[in-house]
Amino acid sequence: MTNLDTYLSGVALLAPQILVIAAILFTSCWDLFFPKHKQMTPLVSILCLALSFFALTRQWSVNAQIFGGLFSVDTLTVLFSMIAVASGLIVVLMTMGYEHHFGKNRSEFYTILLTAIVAVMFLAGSTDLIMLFVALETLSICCVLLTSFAKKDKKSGEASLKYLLSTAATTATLLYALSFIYGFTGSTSFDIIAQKLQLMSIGTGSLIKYLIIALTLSAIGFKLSVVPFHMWTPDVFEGAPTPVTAFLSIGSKAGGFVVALRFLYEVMGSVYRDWMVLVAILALVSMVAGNLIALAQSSFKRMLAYSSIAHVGYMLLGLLTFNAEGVQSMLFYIIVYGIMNLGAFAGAILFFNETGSDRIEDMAGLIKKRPWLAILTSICLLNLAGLPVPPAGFLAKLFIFKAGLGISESATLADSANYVAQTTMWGSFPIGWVLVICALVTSIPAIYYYSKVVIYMIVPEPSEKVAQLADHRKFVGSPQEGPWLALWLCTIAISLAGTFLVNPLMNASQKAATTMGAEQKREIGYRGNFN
Amino acid sequence: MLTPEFLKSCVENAWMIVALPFFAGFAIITSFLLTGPKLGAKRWFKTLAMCLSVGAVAVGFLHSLSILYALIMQPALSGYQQNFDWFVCENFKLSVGFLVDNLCASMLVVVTTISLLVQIYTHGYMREDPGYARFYSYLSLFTGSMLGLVVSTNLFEMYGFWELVGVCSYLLIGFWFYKNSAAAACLKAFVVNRVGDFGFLIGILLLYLATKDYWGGGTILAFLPQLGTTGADMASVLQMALQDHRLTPELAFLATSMPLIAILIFMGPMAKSAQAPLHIWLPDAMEGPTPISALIHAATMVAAGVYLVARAYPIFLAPDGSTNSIALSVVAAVGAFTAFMAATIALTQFDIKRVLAWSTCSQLGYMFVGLGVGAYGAGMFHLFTHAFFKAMLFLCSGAVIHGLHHEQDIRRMGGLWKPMNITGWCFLIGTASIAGWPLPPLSGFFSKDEIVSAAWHQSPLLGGILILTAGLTAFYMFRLFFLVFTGEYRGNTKAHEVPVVMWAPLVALAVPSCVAGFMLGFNKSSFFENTPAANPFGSFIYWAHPHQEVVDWTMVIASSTAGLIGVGIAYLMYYARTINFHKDIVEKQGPLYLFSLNKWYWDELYLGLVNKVFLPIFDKTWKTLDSIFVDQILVNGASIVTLATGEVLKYTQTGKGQYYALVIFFWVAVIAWLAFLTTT
Repeated sequence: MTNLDTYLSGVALLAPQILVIAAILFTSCWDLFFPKHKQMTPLVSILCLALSFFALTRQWSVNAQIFGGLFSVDTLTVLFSMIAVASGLIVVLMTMGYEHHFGKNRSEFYTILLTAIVAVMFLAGSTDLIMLFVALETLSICCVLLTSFAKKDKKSGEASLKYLLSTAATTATLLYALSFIYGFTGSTSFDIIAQKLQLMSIGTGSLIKYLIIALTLSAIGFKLSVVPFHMWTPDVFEGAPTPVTAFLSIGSKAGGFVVALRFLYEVMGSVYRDWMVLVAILALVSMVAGNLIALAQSSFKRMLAYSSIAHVGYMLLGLLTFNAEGVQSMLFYIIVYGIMNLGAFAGAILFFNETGSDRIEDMAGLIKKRPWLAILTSICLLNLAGLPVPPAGFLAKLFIFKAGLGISESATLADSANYVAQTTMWGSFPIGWVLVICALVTSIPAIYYYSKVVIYMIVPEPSEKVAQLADHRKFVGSPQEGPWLALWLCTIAISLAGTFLVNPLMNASQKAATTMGAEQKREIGYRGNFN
Repeated sequence: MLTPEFLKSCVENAWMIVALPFFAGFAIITSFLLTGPKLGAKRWFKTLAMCLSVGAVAVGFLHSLSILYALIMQPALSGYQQNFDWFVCENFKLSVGFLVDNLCASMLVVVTTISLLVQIYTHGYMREDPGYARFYSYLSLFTGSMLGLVVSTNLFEMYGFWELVGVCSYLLIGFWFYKNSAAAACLKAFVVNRVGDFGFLIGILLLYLATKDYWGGGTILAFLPQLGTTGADMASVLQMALQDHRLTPELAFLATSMPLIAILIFMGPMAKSAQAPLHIWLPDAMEGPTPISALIHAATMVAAGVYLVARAYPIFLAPDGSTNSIALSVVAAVGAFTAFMAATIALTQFDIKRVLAWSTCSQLGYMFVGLGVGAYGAGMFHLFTHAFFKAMLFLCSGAVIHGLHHEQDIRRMGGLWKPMNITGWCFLIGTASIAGWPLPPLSGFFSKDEIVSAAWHQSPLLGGILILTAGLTAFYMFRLFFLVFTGEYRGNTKAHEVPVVMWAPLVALAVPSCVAGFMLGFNKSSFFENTPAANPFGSFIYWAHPHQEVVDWTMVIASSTAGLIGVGIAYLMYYARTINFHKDIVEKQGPLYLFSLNKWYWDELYLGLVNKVFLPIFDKTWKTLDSIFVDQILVNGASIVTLATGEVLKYTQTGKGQYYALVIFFWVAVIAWLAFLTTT
């Protein structure tokens, strides 16, 4: 094959990304020329995202590395890209009903949002330090911009600034870690780094090793908002426009998870197993702190923000098992969590648009005025709580807890080369049981604070704000069909995910989990320039 | 038209029988959800709802008949099943599917026949009710769930449908939820059923745990092996588990004890089929509209318990496959006790529907005795015949109630034979059938006598109880008949015959009540030639070996005599009125009379236990736990954490952005340092 051919075949594999980029170009230009037809931008965005999703489904079984190993297209990439595109689509739908808060600059919002989505898509496949860093930074900068998008809102500005500063700090820590790694191995390619690290195989602990792990964890933990790197989460979740919050809660988290899988699991997994202890502790702290603090929140969005910290704690259980079953459960959890969380945010947007409030007390008696809103949001919330109605959230918890029980086992079953190191780290301590028991116990407050909202919406007499609602929806500044559609889509998806689609979703997750790192990828193009 | 290919496709598409009523029910409910409750008042919507439900079950009825015909014509088709994975996690797999075999086909015919007739009858009975369309949607959902239960291929699936029929029953008992008594009754039914279903679920889970290694990738807890494949089935898996000592044959308080598992599973049927001590909900369930009493609480749902025991029969059998097992003895004992108890209670009740409800309890007891003593075919046959005549009796009582403008007290009835001639005839046929009237032999005669003689051979005590109960049954049923249809009319309103849409189903049900016994339960060689042979029904439904026994003429005569004595006393007391001692009994309020009138004080016992024992204990424990654990640790703990975090956040959020970065760097350093310290 000639160089041109390999290049072109690589570009062909980027079709989903290119489709989204086309949408970016369109949204950034359209308003300049046709300012009267602003409503086109979200529609074209949705169209391109849908096409991109379709293109991704065509790549389901591809397993290739392109551009000299910078970028991998495998099932994991595709799955995470799908999560990003699907959540992006829902967020665009939500934004359609939220635009009026943005004043004139409506189409720019879509441009930046789509850029963030494309960043996650590139992040999902990046198998090179440079690629990883560029994609991650694109995502971070977009998120900062999106957070500040409600320009006249002081909270939004404050949140954005805090986010910017924190992002800058973690960029520094990540770069520090990456430069250490490059210094050790002399390469930026994940494969080679993994091989070299294996060769060097630092058996006993050295401070520099833990420093690298801690630095990397800080960057990943920041994206995933794991305690203690979660400080930005509540402020940003509350201050940012709600569609952005929704995107941050799943779109950008998906980016964090894919880095965790690719970098912690694949690259450092074989040697630097010590991160598992640290992640276990962070997961434990996140579950406890996230759930307990969420218990006391009176703002709906803040409650979702803290509970998302706890959910990430649960998801990390899957990573810690260090086997395909655990990763499979984790992917299932991410998908299900994404759907139900987006649904809850869509409900929050619809409620906020009509009442201007996101306080839980203000939602009292909503079922009397807006029965569908109350019911659909309730379904999402009950699933978040892990109650089996329909059992998507319940199954997600069940699978991941079940996988979590195997954590100690997989550690002791580690390959013989690392066996000694492992036993010193875990000892005979049943970390899996501790984690799962902690997860189960902390699920109890979760059930309480989620169902509290449901009970508020359904049982008591309407609050003042709800009582003032008109019997029929009034025009609030932008068409509310978008968020409604988003809410319906999420509820239907969650119902399906808990009933008919359990198997397909689990199979998809399994495929993604097993293709990861297991087999040598078919290489397209050449490698060498970067080494 | 009935080509072999057509019949085969009927069997292979049996799922449609289940799907159609579900579709009809959901279609009606969805239209309500989309347009609001006002829709139910529209005339066209009522008609549409009725046509949808009745149409769905009518198609199902024809389909069931074709399946039955197909299985008779092509016995090789029996046992056909299809399973779909619903839920797979590693080696644990839940399947849903449908199974068609002889037992199932017979049940399908029973359920669809009665459901069809009841739904037609409903049109007349509920015509004036504002909830007409809603009623039809529940009826359809119930029919779908019940049919799903019948065609289930495995215990898990059956459990799912089991709960669905429970929910539908709850909805239908509480159909007139604005009546306090109905609201209380549906709650009671739900709670009592929860007790039974809890045992059922635990039984299923224990059974699964004990046998999970033996299903070999096939459907877990499947009743039968699949045609053409080597799937495992319950009987063979239980045998393997017993051989490997994963299950123990002794009754012990162990998770592997097979009789214990069987008894736990039997708790489900005890609640659903109203067997003592979980029977208390059924009489109260009569608060629901009468068509429901006929369909759910007489013919189909309450018989689901019997069907479950019959389906899962291998679990109840002894390890060597004989019917002399602990679990079956429990089944028989519970059945006999309930049969007797319910019959004694029915003697003194005054509500027409409650008398019938208690007699349902009693007859279900007969069926369990039949299964418990190994007379499998007889038990199922009694289910079959009982479904027809009991549904008819309930529909007759509905006709009477309708004709008398919602009068249910038999003390204010009487002399209805003339104005309600058709209903009266049907009621007489049903009464004679349930009383085991020997000449001409109606359907109840055959099925009941078979059970009685099987029970006698197992244990004369059981047989004796059943014979005595047969006498009591005859007495209270004819008491009911005489009080309602003969003598002077004691009410205020003018009685009238019901419209044709209501009496036609009665007549349609009277036919099988008369002839089903003779056609399916009569066997010449067994009756007259003294050779053991099963009746046609028994040999049709039992897959392994039909229960074979010579008909014992002594037993037949004994139980018939008991029945005739009961009829005779009832005649003398309530028709000829030559004996008058019932008046003395009633006025004297003797202890036995009060014991029967107050239903053996079960309700009082349970209420006393709950109010005086359980609730105080629970209350005390909870309060202690609450004050220590929840208040002190959880709530205060959570608020301390919140406060503390708030304090820390306040400190960092001084408006100085650099703190945010500092925190991150700080934790990176701390984590790295701690990790280093702990490992070296």
